[in-house]
Amino acid sequence: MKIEINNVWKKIGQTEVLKDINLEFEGGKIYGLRGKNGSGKTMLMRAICGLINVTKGGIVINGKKLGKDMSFPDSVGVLIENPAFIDSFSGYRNLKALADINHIIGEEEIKNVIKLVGLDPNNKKKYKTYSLGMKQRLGIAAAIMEKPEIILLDEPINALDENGVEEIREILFNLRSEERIIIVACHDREELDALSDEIIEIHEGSIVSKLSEKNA
Amino acid sequence: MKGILKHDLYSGICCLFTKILTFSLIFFFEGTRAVTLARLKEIGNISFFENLTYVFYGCKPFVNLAEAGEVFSMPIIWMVIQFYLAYIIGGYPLNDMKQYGINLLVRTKSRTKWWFGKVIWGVLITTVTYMAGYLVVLLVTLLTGGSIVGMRPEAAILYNDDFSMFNNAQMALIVFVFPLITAISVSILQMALMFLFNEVIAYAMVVFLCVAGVFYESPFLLSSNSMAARSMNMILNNSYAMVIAGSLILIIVSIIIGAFTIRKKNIYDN
Repeated sequence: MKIEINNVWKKIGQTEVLKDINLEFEGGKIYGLRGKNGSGKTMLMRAICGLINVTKGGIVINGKKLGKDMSFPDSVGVLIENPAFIDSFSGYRNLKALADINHIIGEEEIKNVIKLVGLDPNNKKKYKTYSLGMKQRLGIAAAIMEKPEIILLDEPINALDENGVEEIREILFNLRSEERIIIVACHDREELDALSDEIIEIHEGSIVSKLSEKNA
Repeated sequence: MKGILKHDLYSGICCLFTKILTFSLIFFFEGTRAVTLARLKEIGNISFFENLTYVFYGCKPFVNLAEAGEVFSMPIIWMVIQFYLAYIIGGYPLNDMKQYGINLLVRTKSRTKWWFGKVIWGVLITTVTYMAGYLVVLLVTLLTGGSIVGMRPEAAILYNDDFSMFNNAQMALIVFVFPLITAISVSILQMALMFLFNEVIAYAMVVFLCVAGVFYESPFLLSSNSMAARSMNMILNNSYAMVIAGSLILIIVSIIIGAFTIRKKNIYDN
């Protein structure tokens, strides 16, 4: 599993939100994206999952160029900014609706992933009545439930309490495998240090440093 | 595709129940007004077709009336119907794309499928809202003792035109087919413009089409084809097939524009 980001630029209006990004992500690692608000972390994630088209350069995933050989990565799970679900569905029903698109997983796996993120699969509460933390947990569940090769999580620990943060960290460690790349953007420096094998620092759309966790 | 459709049917139609209800209240208001007016004018109970003709009458082009020195009155309710439908159409697809739609896009891996889902949604939501409106007018008519079909010469007093020369099939074209197919084509056009520009510009263009259609008559001002005051001439001139073909062409062109636009669309919040 490999993602190559080659000389990627993204311009929105007159603003260059990504400037000459060159990165390589390999399976088996958790990558942390660090940077201030508006530094380009989320935009980079959107580019990797095919939601935005880059202005210059290219993103190659397992030898296939995004936007040319494929519109979206073959196997990706995302949580970008705020989780978005159907308000009047329960957590389970929301995940079931998404799982029914590709039929990769069944009811049992959905229930397991809900339990894994610390929610109750039998809870009939509507999504709109969920607390922020519960919404975040469900968003993470949706991103990881089909065990995708690429997992992109933007601020996954937002609104989570200490226990929640620990649980999510544990889940991500368990998901780490040679076939999978996990990229996490987080404003919490300490948490990102604890979670990541490599940390990439972005400032005003440019990569300013790439460090392994030990050196971070 | 099935997953996209299921989501659109639920989030885009069932969850818009209040808006659909509000839309049908406009029909209730206008349908009741027609019944009251008919009683005041002492022409008896009006039929469903007569009532719908009142709702969709619209107006003759302002320029023609001005030339003939006739009085022009703005078709306010007809415009409210068009604007409110445009408001319903404008509120869903782009928001969905930026929020829940992301879940669908990364799973279906196809922007085109997502767009076709929205096209189907556009056709369905327009049909459902109009059907709700028709149903309300039908109930108002039946509850006030009116029949379903039939156009009487005396009903011309309601809208200043005599529709009694038209048979039921022709009236069905005037009050069902033209308004609905026009509304569907304008809705799909609005959606394509939304992705090409943004929601505000798309809405403004639809409003422009409607307002310009009130004042002038042109094949390009498609919205006015839903006015009974205009479509009656299409039946008389035997040009109704052209109008239907025009709407279908606009639908196809809008679908193609949307499909190309969506492929290059950047999906982010601001």
